[in-house]
Amino acid sequence: MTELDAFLVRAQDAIPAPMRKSLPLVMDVRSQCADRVAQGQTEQEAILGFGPPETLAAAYLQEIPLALPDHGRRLIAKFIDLAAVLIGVALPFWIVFVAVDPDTQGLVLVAALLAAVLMVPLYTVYAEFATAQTLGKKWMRLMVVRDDGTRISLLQALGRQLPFVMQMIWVDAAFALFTAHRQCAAEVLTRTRVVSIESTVHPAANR
Amino acid sequence: MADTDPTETHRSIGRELKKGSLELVVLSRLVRGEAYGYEIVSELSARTQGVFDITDSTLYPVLYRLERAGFVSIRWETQNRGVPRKYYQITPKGLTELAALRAEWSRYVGAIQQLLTSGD
Repeated sequence: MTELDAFLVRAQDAIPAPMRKSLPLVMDVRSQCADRVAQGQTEQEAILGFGPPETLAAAYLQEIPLALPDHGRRLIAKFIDLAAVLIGVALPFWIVFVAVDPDTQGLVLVAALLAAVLMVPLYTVYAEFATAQTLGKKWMRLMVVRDDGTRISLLQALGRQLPFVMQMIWVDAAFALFTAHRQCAAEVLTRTRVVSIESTVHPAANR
Repeated sequence: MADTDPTETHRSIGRELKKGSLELVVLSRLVRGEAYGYEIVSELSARTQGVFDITDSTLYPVLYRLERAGFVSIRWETQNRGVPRKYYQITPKGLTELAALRAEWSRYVGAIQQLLTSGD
């Protein structure tokens, strides 16, 4: 892997997965570096002109306005996620449930319930950190980003699940009705937000 | 109260002015014909004797903004070197925007000039 490749990997890593293909960052950097190298600079010198890759990614993302999420779509996304996890957990446990003797079935049910309770936040943390979207958010065209539009960290993904773990999801969700960016309480704390994926235009474009 | 380094304050004003006028400057350059990123950066620096020295990380996001807004269009040229080069051209919408930005700039410069000279 060249130094340029490593730079681009870091820049791409800072961009939420759903935005990666739409940003021209990779081609811009490659093209500019090729021009600078042709003018006698080294690849390392050419890369330096772009500053830290994460800052460059944030600068590109800043050009895309973060669209406010629709409350209804967020709610539907949450139900889809819950249903997906429940189905995912229920299927293997059902196989076990019908295979064991009736005396053990109660235990299987309790285990299934515990697994479901654990899987909801675990799946959400993984999906939001890795791809910025859970299944529900993907279907509802929503994604999770930091306040500056860049990809969330694992710690932020974990922090977003605190209300679920603390059984305060309704209080947490109620914040979205009153905050400027429709953020839940945990989102305000973790400096993350759910945004709608839309092709928004520069305000001046409508002049 | 912390002391402020006057040189740093001047640099900061320069940075802010550059940031605020970059769209205007880039569109003005593109009126003279299409150009690619490296060409824009080096021309701006050369024509202003280094006063308008901008980094690639500043220019490209602005070019992306202009592209999204429909003020510039792009054309890719595949070179022998293997990496295609992106050329930017100003669009009719970009020309309208440039006229508006020029008017705004003139108004601002005029007002500042008036303020600076009125003290004499």
